Amino acid sequence: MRKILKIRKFGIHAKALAGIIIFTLLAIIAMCISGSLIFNRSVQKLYNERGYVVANIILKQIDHDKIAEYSKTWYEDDYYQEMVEYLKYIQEVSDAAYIYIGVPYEDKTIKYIYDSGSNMGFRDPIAAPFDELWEAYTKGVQPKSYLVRHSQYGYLTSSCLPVKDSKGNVVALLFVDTYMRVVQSTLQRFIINMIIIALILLGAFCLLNWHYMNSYIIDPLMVLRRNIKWFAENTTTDDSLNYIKTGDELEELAKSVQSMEQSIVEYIDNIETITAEKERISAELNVATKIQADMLPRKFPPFPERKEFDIYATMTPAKEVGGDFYDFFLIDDDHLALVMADVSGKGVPAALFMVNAKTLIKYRALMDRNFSPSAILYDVNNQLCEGNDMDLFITVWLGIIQISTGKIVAANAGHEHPAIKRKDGQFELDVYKHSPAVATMDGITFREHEFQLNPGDSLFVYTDGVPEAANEYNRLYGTNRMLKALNKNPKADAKELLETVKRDIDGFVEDSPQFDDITMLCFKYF
Amino acid sequence: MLNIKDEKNGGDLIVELEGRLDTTTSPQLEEKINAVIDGVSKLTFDLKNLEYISSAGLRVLLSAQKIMNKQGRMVVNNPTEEVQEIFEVTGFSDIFTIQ
Repeated sequence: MRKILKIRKFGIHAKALAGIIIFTLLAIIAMCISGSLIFNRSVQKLYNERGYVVANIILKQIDHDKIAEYSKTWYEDDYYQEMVEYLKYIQEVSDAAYIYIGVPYEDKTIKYIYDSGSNMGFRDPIAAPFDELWEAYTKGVQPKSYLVRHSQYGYLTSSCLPVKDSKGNVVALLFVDTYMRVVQSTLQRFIINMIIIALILLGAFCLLNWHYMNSYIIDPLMVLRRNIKWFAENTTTDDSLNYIKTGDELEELAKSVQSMEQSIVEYIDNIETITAEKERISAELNVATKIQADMLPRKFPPFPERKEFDIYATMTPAKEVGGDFYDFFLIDDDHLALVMADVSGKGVPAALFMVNAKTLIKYRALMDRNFSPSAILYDVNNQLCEGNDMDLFITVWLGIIQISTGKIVAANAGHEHPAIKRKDGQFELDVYKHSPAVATMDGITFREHEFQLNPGDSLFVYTDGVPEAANEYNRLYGTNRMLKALNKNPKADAKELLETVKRDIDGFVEDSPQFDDITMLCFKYF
Repeated sequence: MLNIKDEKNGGDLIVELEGRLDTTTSPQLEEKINAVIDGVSKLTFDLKNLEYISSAGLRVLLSAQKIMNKQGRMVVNNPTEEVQEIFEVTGFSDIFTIQ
């Protein structure tokens, strides 16, 4: 890991450095080339023009017609000697390399009338651009270029002027050659100086830039990178980002990253707390589910010594704890109480309310010597209404059976209609007028309803979780399907009947989630 | 799904419910009623578009009824057959004034 870090670090540094060096070198090369070109040209011009000054002085002094004559006769006379003296003198004082007068020919040679290095009539090939000299000779104009050349006589520039006789005809060309050696060495010195200065500047620039890049860009980036890498691996943060004080976008970035990391750390802490809390609640709910299940009588058959009846009941909560409950207990040897109830709402509030209601109903019923469901519910209702700020209520079907006779006195406080099967008959709903649910209003009374069970009859009570079980199309299971399921085998024992209904509900709702607690109780009278 | 439309006119509040009033939607109605019920002397629920009401929904109506018992009166209008049957079965037809 450390190795990779180092290689990468070298990577970004090396790239930055190489970039700076290449860019500066290219700038220096371009500068040297353009500088030397401009310098070279201007120095050439200077030397060439100096040659023209000399040439013009000579042209003023010599006799042009004499030159015309020499170009024909090629004969040295007294004036020629005089002219030679003069030209030598001029050459000496003007520091010109060569001074010569000649006639160019079309075979690219020149025949000298005068040449400081040879004699009259000597022929030499022309080293300078011939076209320009020929134009100067035939048209009598001064060549445009500086006629710079490297020849056997050295690195030279020629200043060339046509010599015209008194009639205006061009008879020869006058050349003043100047050595360019000086130019060359000056140029070399110029370039060397320039390179040295540029290299010094480059070094300084590289150092400065390097320092700047390091302290303002690369180092902060490295700190950021290390910090983020550390954060990604360990999900903890330190204050290293606070030391990035570049005063620009990088500092801003560092601050944003810092605050983002802190938020994430806090967020993760929160989630951990919440998850722990959730787990705790879930564990407690599991215990609550168990406690609630334990509160309902679950031992079947509950009264093995009583052969007059059979009871079976189940409760399937929609959430961990539910608001439904069933209950059955003997008030005395001859009276059995059956309770089926449903607290409005679900979950913990309903479950707490249910515990209270169940206890109240059972103990109030055990104390009742008149076996009157109406009186029992009246008291329970008043008790539950006390401090019921949440306005929860509970629908209750409470029936008390005289076992010896089969007479049932029941009160229905807003609960579902029970289903009754007569011997050899089918299950049918027993519809009658209901009283309001328990805990709705203080002081309300509950109607009582009396009916008779004969040996072979069955009673089925349930909560609205049964008819209101919904499938994925939001269709309700309904009491018709429930009755049909019950009537598949109406003579089956209580347990089997309940299992049949539950299976039928499950087949109807399929994978839809269960919305409400499903609670059922079946009582068979033998 | 539950849509709640409420119209307040002085002390008159008309609440129109559309859809299903069950465990998932009743907190929505409870919140709404608690927010607007102050100073209402006549509360009318229009239930002609209410398809279903569960015990959790009945609890909210009951709460409203209890509040209105103290500060005025409450009327439940036009329940559908299904909802009326639920009122009957649960005995709320004895508690609410249904028109």
